[in-house]
Amino acid sequence: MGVADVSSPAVRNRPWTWLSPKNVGAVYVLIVIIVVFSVWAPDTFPAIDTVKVILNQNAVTGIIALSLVVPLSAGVFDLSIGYVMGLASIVCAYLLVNTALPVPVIVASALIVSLFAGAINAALVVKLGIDSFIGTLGSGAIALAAIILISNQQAITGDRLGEGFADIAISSVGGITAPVILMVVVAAVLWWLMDHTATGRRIYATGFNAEAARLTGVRTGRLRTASLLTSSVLAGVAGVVICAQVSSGSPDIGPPYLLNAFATAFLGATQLRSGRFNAWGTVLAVLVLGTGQTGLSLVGAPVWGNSMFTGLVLLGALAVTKLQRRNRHTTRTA
Amino acid sequence: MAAVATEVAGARNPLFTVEDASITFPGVKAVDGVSLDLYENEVHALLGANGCGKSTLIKILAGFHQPDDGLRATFDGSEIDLATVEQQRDHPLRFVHQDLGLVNELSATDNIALGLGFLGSGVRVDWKAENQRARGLLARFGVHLDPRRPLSEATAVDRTLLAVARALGGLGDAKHVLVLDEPTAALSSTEVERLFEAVRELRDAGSAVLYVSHRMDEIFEIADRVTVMRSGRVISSGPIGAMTPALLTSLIAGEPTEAEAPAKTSSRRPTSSARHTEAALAVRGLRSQSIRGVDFEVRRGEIVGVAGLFGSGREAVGYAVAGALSDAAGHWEINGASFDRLTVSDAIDAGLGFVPADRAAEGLISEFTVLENLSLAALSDLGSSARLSRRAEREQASAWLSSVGVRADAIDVPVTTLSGGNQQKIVFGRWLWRRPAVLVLCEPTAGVDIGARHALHELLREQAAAGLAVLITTSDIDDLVEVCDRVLVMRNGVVERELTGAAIATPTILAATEADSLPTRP
Repeated sequence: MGVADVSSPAVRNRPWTWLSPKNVGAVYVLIVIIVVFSVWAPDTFPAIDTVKVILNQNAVTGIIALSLVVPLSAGVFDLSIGYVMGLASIVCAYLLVNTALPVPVIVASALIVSLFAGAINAALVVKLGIDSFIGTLGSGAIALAAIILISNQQAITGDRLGEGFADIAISSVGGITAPVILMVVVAAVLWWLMDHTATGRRIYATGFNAEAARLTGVRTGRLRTASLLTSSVLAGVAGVVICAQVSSGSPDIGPPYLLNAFATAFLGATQLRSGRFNAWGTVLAVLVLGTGQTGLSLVGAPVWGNSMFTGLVLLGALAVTKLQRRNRHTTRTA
Repeated sequence: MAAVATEVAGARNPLFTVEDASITFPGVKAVDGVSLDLYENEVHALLGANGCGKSTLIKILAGFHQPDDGLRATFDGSEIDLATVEQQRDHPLRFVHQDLGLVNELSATDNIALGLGFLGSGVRVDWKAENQRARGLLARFGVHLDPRRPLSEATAVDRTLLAVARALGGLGDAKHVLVLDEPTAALSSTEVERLFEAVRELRDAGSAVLYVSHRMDEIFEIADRVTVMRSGRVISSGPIGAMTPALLTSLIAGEPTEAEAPAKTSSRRPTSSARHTEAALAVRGLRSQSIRGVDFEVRRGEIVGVAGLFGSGREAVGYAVAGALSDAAGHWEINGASFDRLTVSDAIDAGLGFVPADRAAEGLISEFTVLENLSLAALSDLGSSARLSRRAEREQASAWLSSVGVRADAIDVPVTTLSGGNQQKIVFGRWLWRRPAVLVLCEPTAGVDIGARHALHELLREQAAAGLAVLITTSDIDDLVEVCDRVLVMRNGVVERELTGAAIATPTILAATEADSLPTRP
C-alpha cells in the first residue's frame, strides 16, 4: 500500500481558483462599491481617513458577528448575543461607576457574567434539548430583564467611564484602534480553530449532520456547549468594547446588533469557503457592509438607505450562492 | 393445468395489466421485463427476497420511478400512463406504502384531510364535515377511535387500516387496484388477522389487491394468486393452490447451480483452526425497545451475521451493540474493556467501528468532501490537538482511498457526487483507517450496485482474515451467504437460531426468518 498520488492539493491552491468570483465575490462587490463612491463623492470618500473610519466604526460589529461563527457552524442559533453584549456593557458601566474595583477585574467580571449566560444557554439547548432558536430567545429576554434591572432604564454615566477604561477603545497604532486589532485577532484564532484543528472539523460535522457526527464518535453535545460558551464570551467582549467606545452604559446598546451580526455571518458564509461559516469571510462581509454604509452616509443618502443596502447585499449573495450550487448539481453527474 | 388457465382468462379480463416493465439503474437492471395481471375480486401476492426488484416495481407502478421504454399499462381495457395517472381525479391505482405516510402527531381527521383535501370553502375548513368523513371512513373498516385524538394513541393496526381507508377514500364503488406494500411488518398476529378481514372484505367487494410481503404463511392465508420475483425478473406466477411453502421458498431463493454452490462455500471461510479464538466483542443481556435479552460474542477474525425480519430486533441490534441507542441496557465487552452503560464515543474509543444503516442520514456528512468524510474518525491521530496535520491527513487519505478501491483524484470532490457503492467504501474506509478491533455494520450493501457489493464483501473477508471481528446486521441474504461464518437469526427480539457452515444458505436462512415467523394463531 504505497502512498498514492498527493499532487491534487495544488488544485485548491491555484491562485485563479482562489480569486474566482465564486470564492470571493464580495471582494469584487467591495471594489465596485469603492469605485462607485469614489466617483460619487470624489472629495470625501477616496481617502485614507475613510478607511480608518470604516475599520474603527465596524470593529464591534465584526466581533459580534464573529461570535456567531462557532455556534452557527455547530448547527445552533444563538439569538441571545445582542442581549448578552448589552448585559456585559451595563455590568461594566455599573461596576466602574459604583465600585472602586480595578479595570481588569471589572472587565473580567463582565466576561464571567457573559460566560454564565452561555452556560445557561448550553443547559437549555444541549442538556434539556430545547430548540436553540427558542431557547436562546428566552434566555436573551432574561438577559434584557437583567439589563433593565441594573440600569433602571437609564444610561449609566460617570467619570471613571471616560478615564483609563476608555483606552480600550481609543488606544491606536497608526490610526487603527485597539478594537480593530482585537477583531483581527479574534478572526485569526477562529480561523485557526475552524480550519486547522480537529475540533473545528468536528464542529462543522456536528452542524451539517449531528447524527452522523455522533455515530462517528464526535461528542456533539460537548461541542455545542463549547460553541454557546464561545459566542457568549465574544458577545461579552463586544459589550466591553462598546461600553468603552461610547463611555457610558446604555440599556439599549446591545440588542440592535443582533440582526446585523446574523446578516454579516450569513453573508460571510457565502465567501471563501462557500456554505461554511468562517472567520475571514465574516470579516470580508463586515468590510463590504461597512464600506457601503459609510459611503452612503458620505453622499447624504436617506436614512433607509443603510438597511436597504444591507438587505440587498445579503439577499443577493445568498441568491447567487444558491444559483451556483444548482448549476453545479445539474452539470455534474455521479 | 393449461385448460384451467384458458378457462380463467376466457371468463374475465384482467382489471389492470402491466407489460414489459424494466428499469436500469447505474450498473444494474433492477427490474427486467416484468409483466403482471391483476383481476377484480382477487388478492395477488408479490413475493421475493430483499433486492429482488419488487419494491422498485411498486415504485414504477406508483409513477415514482421513470421506467425504461417499452412499458405498457392498461386499466379496465384502456391504456394508462403510470407517470400521470395519479394526477387524475379518482385515479384507479391506490397505494399504501410500508411507512403508511401518516403523521402520528395529528388526528385521524387531519391525516385523512391531508390525503384527500380539506372540506369546506376556500377560506374555512368545515371541521364538522371533516370529522364526519373521518368517522365514516374508519367505521367502514371497523376502526373505533376518536378521529380528533392524535394517531400516536392508536394501535398499529388501526393506523394501518386508517392508511387503507385514506388510500381508498373518495373512490366509492369505482373499480380500483389497491397495492399494500408489506402492511404487516409492524403488526402482531392478532392485528394481522384484523387487517386480513378488512382485505378480504375489500376483495369480496371487487378490489384487485396487490399484496407485497415477506411472510410466507400469510400468503397462503390471504392470497388467491402469487407472483415470485428474483433478480428483477418474474420467476413464477400462478394460483396459490398450485404452490407449497417449500416450492415457494426454493423459487424465492433460487436453486443454486451445481457448479457454483460448492466453490462458493470453500472460497468463503477460512478453516476454523486458522481463526483466533479470543472474543473481541461480547454482549450479555442486551435489551432495548425491540430487543429482549440478547447474548453473543464475536471472535477476532470472525464474521457474524444477524438475520431477521423487520421488527424482529435485527434492525436495532447493531445500534445497541455500538452504544447508539439511549435506551439500550446490558453488558458490553469491547476489545477487553467492559461497560454497563455505553455511548458511541466510548465504544469507538474502545476500538469499535460502526457503519449505520442509513448512509445519507447517519453515515456521511454530505456537505463534506471525500477527504473530510474519510478522515472524520481518525482526526485525533493526525497532528496534535492544537494543530491538525492536513498534510498527514491528505497522504493517509489517499492511501486509504486506493486501498478501498476509490480513485485517488476523487479526494476533494463533494462526497455526494460519488456513486452509492463508492460512498459506502468511504464509510468503510473511515473505520478501517482507525484499525478497529470490532466493526459493526448495518445493511452494509444497501443501495450499492453489484460490482461494489462484491468489492465490499471482499474487503470484509480480507479484514477478517487480518484479525478484525465483524458483526453484520442485514436484511440482504446475500451479505450473510457471501461472508458470514455464523448467522444469528432473530425473532421477536431474541436470537432464535444460530446457523453455521453449510446451513448458511439462502433457503435455510429464509426458512428460519420467514416461514414460521408468526406464532400459530388460535
